[in-house]
Amino acid sequence: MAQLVEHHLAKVRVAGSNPVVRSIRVVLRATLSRRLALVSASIAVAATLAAGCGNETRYDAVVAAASDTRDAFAEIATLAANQSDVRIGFVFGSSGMLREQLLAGAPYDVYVSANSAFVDEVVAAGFGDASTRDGFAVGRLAIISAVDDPLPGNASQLADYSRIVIANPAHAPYGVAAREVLQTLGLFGDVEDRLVLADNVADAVRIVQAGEADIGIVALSLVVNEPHLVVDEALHQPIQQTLVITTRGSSNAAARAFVDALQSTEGRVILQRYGFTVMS
Amino acid sequence: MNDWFPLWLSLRVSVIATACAGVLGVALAYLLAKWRSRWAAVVEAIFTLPIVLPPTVLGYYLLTLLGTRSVLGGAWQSTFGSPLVFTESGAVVAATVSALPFVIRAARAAMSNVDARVEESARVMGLSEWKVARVVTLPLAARGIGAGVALGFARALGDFGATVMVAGNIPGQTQTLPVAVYDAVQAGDDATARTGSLVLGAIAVVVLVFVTQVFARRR
Repeated sequence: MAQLVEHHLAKVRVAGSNPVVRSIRVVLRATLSRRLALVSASIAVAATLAAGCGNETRYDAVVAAASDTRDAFAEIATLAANQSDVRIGFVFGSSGMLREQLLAGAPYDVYVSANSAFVDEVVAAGFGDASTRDGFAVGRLAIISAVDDPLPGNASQLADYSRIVIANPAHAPYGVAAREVLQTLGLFGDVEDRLVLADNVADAVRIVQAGEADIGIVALSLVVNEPHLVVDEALHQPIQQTLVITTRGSSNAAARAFVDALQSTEGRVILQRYGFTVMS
Repeated sequence: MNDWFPLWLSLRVSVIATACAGVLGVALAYLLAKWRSRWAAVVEAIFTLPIVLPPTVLGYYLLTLLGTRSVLGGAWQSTFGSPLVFTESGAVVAATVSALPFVIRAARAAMSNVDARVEESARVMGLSEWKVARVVTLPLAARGIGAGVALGFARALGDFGATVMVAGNIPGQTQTLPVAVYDAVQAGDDATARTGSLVLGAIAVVVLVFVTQVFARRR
């Protein structure tokens, strides 16, 4: 309303006298300052909220790990906390994506890949401490099915299902292994058009569990406590789990503590419980 | 949800990003509104790209532009001693770029709608261009600017794709609430995903009600 009046006032007295200008300015200033007060008040409230309740969560080391390790590493983190009183934060994703992030400067202290070649690339690029490289376990594949679908009796029946999910072979080692299984069994050409590609192997599990695909070829380590069919190791190249402490993490005692926990006897027992084959 | 860090981080990042986008956006919108050239439309279209592009593509552009191997990223690193990407500052940049077009578009439209005769009369009365902008143009466009800033805030708060590419998903450092919801879904942690989504939804409703009540034209 006030604006409307000003508007007409201005129209009528385009080249008005000074008192009019002054009154326009007064009204406009008042409008501006009310808005300003409102906006700055809301910003102040939000900023107080944000600042006041600051950083209660801090992690001593950040471990970037292939998503097949998610369940096992939750227990390894507890073990590390008990052994050395360190808090470990995790970034889970496909090994390929995490490698890209590391090479782009991501502040990760430990890199755990489901493909040892990725670790070598990270070391070669100067981002990993070669002396800490350790192929600590081998991952296995397992087949799971949606709630409404029965598990197959063996892997060669995979083609009987209409939608099959695997991790994206472009950057996920478990996806590469799953594709190898389908190729070895001579099923790949048949099922290629029916494949659903997940971001990473944990996402593949989620997609099957949500019923969005009938069956999935996923990491055994993520489904040990559910109905599954373990895939014969002879059908694909070994999925070598390999870790390296990054250049940035080499001065971080918590990163070392996590790796120590993983390599300890208790750590190996945990890995075995999740279906990893552990090197002696 | 037992860890509220992502919420506070999200609020902090989006407030700072909104402030940056507000200042930058209003300045750019003013220049665009005053610039009488067909190139103004082209420039405005370029600044609108973040609305149109998939957020992941935007994130990829930003990562390429600001990564440690880029010129800008390298300059940032040599100035501040740490990379810009995969930090909270990186999240602020991603959120600012996402919010900017909302501010620019709303503010430019509002400023173009200010009656040129009012500005002209102020000029006739001897006010400088800067004074005209401050005393006449900006106050008359305040509703539009405010609505743009509020929408920009909502966009900054909700950004996922660009943030996850530029700042990553590091718990306790760069994991904002939308990213935490994604992470919870991946981990099968339905409780956290549900709580986070409800909180984001609630904030969005509050902001939208705020926009319509305060900035929409009342008759």
